[in-house]
Amino acid sequence: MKLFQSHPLWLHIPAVVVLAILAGMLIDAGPLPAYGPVHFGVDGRPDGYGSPAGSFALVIGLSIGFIILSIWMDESWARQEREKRFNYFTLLDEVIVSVMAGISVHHLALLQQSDPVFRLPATEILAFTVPAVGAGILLEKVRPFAPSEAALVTEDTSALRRELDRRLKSGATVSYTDIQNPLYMNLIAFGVPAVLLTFAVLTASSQPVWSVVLNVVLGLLLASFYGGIRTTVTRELITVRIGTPGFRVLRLAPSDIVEAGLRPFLPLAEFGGYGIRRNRRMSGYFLKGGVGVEILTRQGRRHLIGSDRPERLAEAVRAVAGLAAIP
Amino acid sequence: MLIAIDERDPRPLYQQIVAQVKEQVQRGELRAGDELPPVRELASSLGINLHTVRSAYLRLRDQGVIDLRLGRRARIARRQQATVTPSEADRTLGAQVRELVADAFLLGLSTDDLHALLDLHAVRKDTLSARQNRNPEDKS
Repeated sequence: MKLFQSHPLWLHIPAVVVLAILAGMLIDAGPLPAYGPVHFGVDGRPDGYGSPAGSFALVIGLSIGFIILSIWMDESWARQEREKRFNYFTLLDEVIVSVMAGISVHHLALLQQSDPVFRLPATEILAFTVPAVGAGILLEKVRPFAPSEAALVTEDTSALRRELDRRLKSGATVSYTDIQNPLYMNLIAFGVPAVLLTFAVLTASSQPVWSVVLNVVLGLLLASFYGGIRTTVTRELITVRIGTPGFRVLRLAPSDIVEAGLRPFLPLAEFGGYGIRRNRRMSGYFLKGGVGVEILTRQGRRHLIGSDRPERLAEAVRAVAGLAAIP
Repeated sequence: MLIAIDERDPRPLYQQIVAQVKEQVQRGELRAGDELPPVRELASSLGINLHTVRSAYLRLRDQGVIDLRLGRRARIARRQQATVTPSEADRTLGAQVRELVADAFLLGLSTDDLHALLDLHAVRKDTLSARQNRNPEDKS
């Protein structure tokens, strides 16, 4: 499988240009002081000192990270696209990199002053953001488009349905489990907490207690998502759980289900991303893919459950809900 | 993964789980790398003791059907290419086959009936290959 199928990398040129300009300005500024203000309080006065070079390196590192994130999101969007739609997410890197560049330029100017006071650098931010976002919108408009070929049903589930019907009829206890646990979820559940917890430990002596506690709590919360989303279908209950502790995020009685079937969907365009989502029509529970199982309840609520093998999950839900097999 | 517990089945509960996982691997419904549900959740959904599910998972691990490591999710193991000699096969499966033959005899089945029964439940390798060819994204 090609790494980039439908999404041209030149969409990210504006963000890269902004980053290059910032790097050029930092080089042009000459040697930075070894020690200077790196953090400012609400009143604009410095409340943290350290290496400004480290501070700018962090900005450049974060900018590169956001450009990579934007590449991944744009590629995900392009792979799901069945008709051309404006992808607002493509502006993510332009906006964030430009804002950070504007703030960095202001920070650079403050290093020259004997009594620095930080103010919101609106002019600097706009000077970067307006052209970058403008170019981003233009490139998004002219980018090529290739409709994705999403096949709705790819797997024969008649054997599963026969087995389910036989087991349910015989009075056996039945449990069908569907697991969505993509690699990126494990990286988030391990990588981000590792960074947060390391940061909390290293800065424990210089940061306020609430900041350290916040990092630790956030790190543990993210780590608890290890394990992805699991949907369990039994005769009495359909449950969707997330993470290792198995937080229950959805609970449905099969008797409340009036319809369940396959539904193609666009995670980014319809729900704004992956995870536990909600839009005007329904709630969604998915970590990858573009075909899920849509369930309609007697109360008129709609739920969309993602799955790596949605045909099988749909058949299991229909079997326990007493609905006919998918034709 | 579909697991059903039948109280009328004379086999112990853990053995029912072991058999169903192996059958789903044989039919190609569970593929190498597929995750199994956590012990606690499967036990809860089936209304059985979690030690029963743990015993089943340990048995499956011992038989090389699943990978089960501390701190990691249980996954279907990559299947080894068959390099078992007839004598090794007899050592591994001989006892079960002998019991099966004896059971068939006690039920009044002839050898031909037993062969027909084996053919009915066997999934031939070419069927499995065809199924995997239909699923090019198959991880195995």
